[in-house]
Amino acid sequence: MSRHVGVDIGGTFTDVAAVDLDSGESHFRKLPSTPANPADGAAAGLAALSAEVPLADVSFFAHGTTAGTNALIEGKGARTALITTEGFRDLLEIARQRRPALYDLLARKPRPLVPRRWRREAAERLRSDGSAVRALDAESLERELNFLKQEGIESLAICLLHSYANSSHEREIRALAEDLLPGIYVTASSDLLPRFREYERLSTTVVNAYLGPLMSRYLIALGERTAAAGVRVPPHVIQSNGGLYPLAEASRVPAATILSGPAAGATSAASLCARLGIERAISMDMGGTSTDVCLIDGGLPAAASGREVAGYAVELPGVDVRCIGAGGGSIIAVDPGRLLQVGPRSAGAEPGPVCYGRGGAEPTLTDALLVLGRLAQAGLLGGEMPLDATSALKVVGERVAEPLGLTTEQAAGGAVEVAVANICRAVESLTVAQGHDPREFRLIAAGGAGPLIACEVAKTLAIEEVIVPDHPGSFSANGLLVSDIRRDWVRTQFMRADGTALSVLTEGLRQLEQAARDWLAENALADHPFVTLRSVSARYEGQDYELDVAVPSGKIDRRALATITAAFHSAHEQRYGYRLSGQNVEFVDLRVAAIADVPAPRRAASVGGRRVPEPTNMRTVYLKQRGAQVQCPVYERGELVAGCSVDGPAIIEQYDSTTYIPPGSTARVEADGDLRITSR
Amino acid sequence: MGADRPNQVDPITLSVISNRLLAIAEAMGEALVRSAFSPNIKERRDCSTAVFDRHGALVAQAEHIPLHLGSMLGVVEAVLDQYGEEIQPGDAFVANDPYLGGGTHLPDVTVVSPFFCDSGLAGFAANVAHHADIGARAPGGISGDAGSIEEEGLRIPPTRLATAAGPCEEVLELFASHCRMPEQRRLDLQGQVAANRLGLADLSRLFDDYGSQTMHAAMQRLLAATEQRMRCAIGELPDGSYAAADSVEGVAGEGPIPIAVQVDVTGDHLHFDFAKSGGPSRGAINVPLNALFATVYYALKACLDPGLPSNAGLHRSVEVTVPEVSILNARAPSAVGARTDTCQCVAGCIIAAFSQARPGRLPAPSNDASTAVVFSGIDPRSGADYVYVEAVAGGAGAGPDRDGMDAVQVHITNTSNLPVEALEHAFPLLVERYELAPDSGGPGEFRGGLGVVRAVRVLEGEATFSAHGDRHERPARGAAGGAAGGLGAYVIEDSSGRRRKLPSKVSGIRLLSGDRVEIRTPGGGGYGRPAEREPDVLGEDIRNGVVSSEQAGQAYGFDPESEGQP
Repeated sequence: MSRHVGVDIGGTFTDVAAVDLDSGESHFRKLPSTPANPADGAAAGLAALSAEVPLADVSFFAHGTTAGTNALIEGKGARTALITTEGFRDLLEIARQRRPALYDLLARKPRPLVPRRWRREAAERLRSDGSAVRALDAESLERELNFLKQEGIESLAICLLHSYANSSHEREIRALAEDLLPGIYVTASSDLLPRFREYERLSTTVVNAYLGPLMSRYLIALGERTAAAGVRVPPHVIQSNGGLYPLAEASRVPAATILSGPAAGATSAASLCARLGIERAISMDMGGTSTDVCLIDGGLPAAASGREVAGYAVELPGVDVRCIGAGGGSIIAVDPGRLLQVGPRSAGAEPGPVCYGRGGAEPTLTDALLVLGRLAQAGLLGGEMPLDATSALKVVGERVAEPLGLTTEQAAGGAVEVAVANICRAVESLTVAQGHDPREFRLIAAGGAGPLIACEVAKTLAIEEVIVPDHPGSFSANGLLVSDIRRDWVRTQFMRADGTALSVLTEGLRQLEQAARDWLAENALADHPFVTLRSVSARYEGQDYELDVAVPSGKIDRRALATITAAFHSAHEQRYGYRLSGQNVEFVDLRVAAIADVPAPRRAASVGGRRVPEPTNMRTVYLKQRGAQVQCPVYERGELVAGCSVDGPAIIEQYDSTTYIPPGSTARVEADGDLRITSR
Repeated sequence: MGADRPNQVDPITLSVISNRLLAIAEAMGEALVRSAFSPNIKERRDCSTAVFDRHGALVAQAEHIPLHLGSMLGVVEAVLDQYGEEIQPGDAFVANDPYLGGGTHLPDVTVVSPFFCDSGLAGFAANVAHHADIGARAPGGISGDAGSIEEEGLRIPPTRLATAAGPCEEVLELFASHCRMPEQRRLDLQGQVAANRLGLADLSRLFDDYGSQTMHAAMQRLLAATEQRMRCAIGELPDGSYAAADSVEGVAGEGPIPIAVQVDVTGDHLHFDFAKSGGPSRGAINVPLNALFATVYYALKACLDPGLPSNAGLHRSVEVTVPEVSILNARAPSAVGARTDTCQCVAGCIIAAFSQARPGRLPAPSNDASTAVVFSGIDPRSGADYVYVEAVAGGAGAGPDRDGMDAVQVHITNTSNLPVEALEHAFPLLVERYELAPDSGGPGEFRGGLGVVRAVRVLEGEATFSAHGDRHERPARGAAGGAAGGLGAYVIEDSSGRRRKLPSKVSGIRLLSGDRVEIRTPGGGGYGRPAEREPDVLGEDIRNGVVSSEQAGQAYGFDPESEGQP
């Protein structure tokens, strides 16, 4: 028997998922995370699983972690230094010079990850074509490195201007640093991300160096703990492109792990779309503090290269997941103009909603959902986490209902409506920015809280169908089980897209493809089924932003070039609404991705249960449409078999999430156990 | 009628409608950034979008550039005045002129589209975008020393740009043909029309969902709610008169021009009086009335309630008085291209006045300048014209419990920089330094934010340099015993190493190949007495080289002998 196991460590919970590759039988567990020592959490997760899954049978182990993200947020990374081009040591702080909040006079910028005294300059200068205006002065460099040695730094970032065009100066510095400061962690920007736009490259390089030592130690510990638990295969770690890395590779590029949870969610959404035959969907994964939103178009998650984490730019190839500050912990308040506000402040996981009974004093969305009866008073996680309905009722009554002159239920219903409007606002601006109309999409609802309000979000956005996956609360962990091994290579090389580009483009892509093949061989992956994908980013001359277009396989001749430019014109029209057929096209970045296939588990057919579902009990739920509390049937998700349907108003409960089906809607159970909800 | 009984909309519906209106303004903003061509709109997001009610009152504005509100307010009003009953479904109007069309300077081009539903005119979608050129004598159209509006480019009074039958091609053509890089201008303007069209479709859905009677009532109720919330904040201020004054640097030979505000608080009523501000400038730093209003609204929100919704309820809660003849009440044919410098100073004065009413709650003065530089010429590599525009950040004022932010754009502007690697690829220029300016943060218990030094060398061919900025002679002051921030400067160094200082507002400076321009921006003021600064924190500043040992000794009274070598 061979089994795949995924362990996803989030801020609040650690999700563990296991699936039998042949039968498709799966197991899910949710445990509290252990931020102080995350490897403990992973080991505990495996231990919890071992009763049902013999760990020696595990043939693939995939891992997602917030260890890097936490270190970044809490400022607990390594003592990191930077060597950069003379005159640019402060670029890390100047960034793009926008301020963090438009109207807040007392806003703070994020603390730079490298203090100014450890940001040292190399006497050197390159131009955009890679030629040297000034050669590297090795003597002064040696002095700088010796200074850093005395300061006891643990990690070094190297980022020089135009190093994407010529990496020789960075390589020289790297060699000297490894010589003079043996044992320290080194990240050079030309190794990590040879792309133009210096601030984003610099920031990514520094984040990587800052997390490197800590993440290397963590990943080694993880490998040891899982081996000790009886798992015979080394872990793979998910990264921001939704692909998995071997352990050593993840230690080299820890910056890629900080977006791992959302990326795994996007992979999960794409796999859900594939099994339901859906091309376009908006995935909404709503947890305690935030909601991750991702577009699936053509069956694939939208790609993006830029993202900010805790105010730090991280610009690695990845999936485009947007984080909205709306979750179960969002605080409900009445402003002095008597308007109802939900968020942006959040009670987070600690102290959390009032009903958690951990000291939260302000009403949150979760409290409102409990007041409405959508959440069970018995609590979350099958009762493992009890909820205090009396205090929720009291706080929503006092802080929301009274100031507005409403009943407590009306106020709670209002808070849900406002939260829905907030989410819709963010989803709309995301889809419009990419040239899409949300009405052409389906809505995937995941996370502990997503399925509780998804039908209302869909109604506001005029989306016809809501899909709730079989295990919405373990969406990211499930993504770990369906991800492939992947690495991306990118390099900036400016060229006009005409006949003169043929040889440069051919040679540039050949080098990247060679690097991809070497990498597959080094990691013993060459015998896996694998594909390499080639693409270029292109723009009209004079523009300052690029779009990726695929490069067809085979020889790059004039016909291939015409195919690429035609694809660019079409992509530009889709994304930006117009094309400029007469304008010269410029290629900017060359990209190659190597994807080594990890066999996907079969899905188990749902078993047991009744064709005509029977409610497990009835619960009082407040329905706005009727302005009253109504007895609603509550169903156990595990007892709903394929083909059966449930008419709203109804509640469907399961271990890791709750689904609310409003009056007028019907949920149908699919063959794989997913729910599809439409209006009657 | 609904509008006469606004209270009939329940508070939940009101909150949801408020959110949906903001969503429409934000989606328009995304659509505009998406469909624009020029880097100025796309990369630097130098544009804004808003929704107005049928009377021309602002109901929702997306968070982009605070100053842009002025243009939209003015143009919607001008369109209503000029076209009134003639406004038809499918129309779109364009304007930029401060004297004929409610604009605030010519590169900010506003497009307004009326929204109709069953009962007639029901509102407006509007947006404004900063076009990289508007056909002025100086490329970019923002040079600080232009003498009159005629030198500043194409003037557009409210003009019909489209009807239900489609765009007015001849107007588009007239506009594009007056500007440099005409194809860019045409595409950007078309993008503006398209963004409004999206807003109208969304408004139509919203009106369908709630009915026009509820929508009109809700819009009025929303303005009332904002006014009530603002008046609550005003009511918490102690009654009294709070005055503050500063000055902006005029053009050559003009000297400083005073900017002064008196804020009178009476109960929940607020009155801004700018009577003591100076007369018009001969240069381009005059402020059209709508830009003054936008600045007042920005400062009010920032000082009293940063989370306040941006709508006309805020506008109703204050009264603004300004003399007929004033730098803050520009009259034709005064030039206005560089009004941002003056607006920044106005914002700074208002914050200084409020900090008397709210002691210990607001920061020391920020750099309060808008350092904008333009390099233009012909690239010898391609033979093509180039125009490189950049706004350079400065220091923010220190707060009562924290240091000021280093290197940020403050107050009414908020645009990104152009990456050095992008600009060196595109233009024959080399950026030699881009770093924080040590000692430019005003000393204090909490240090003012640092300004920036950016040095640009012309590598090939000749170039022309134009710029505006401020605080080259009078620094940002400190607060509560804190000291002043550093000054700004433009210095040209030729290839023989000879250095020449320029005034803060210049245009048409000829640069030869090998010449270098050093742009230095002002820092923010410090807060609290420098001697009170925590020794550890000061030591950290010294070790990091943001405070020199000279400044540490002179301004902070730091004695390395007694305190130990840092």
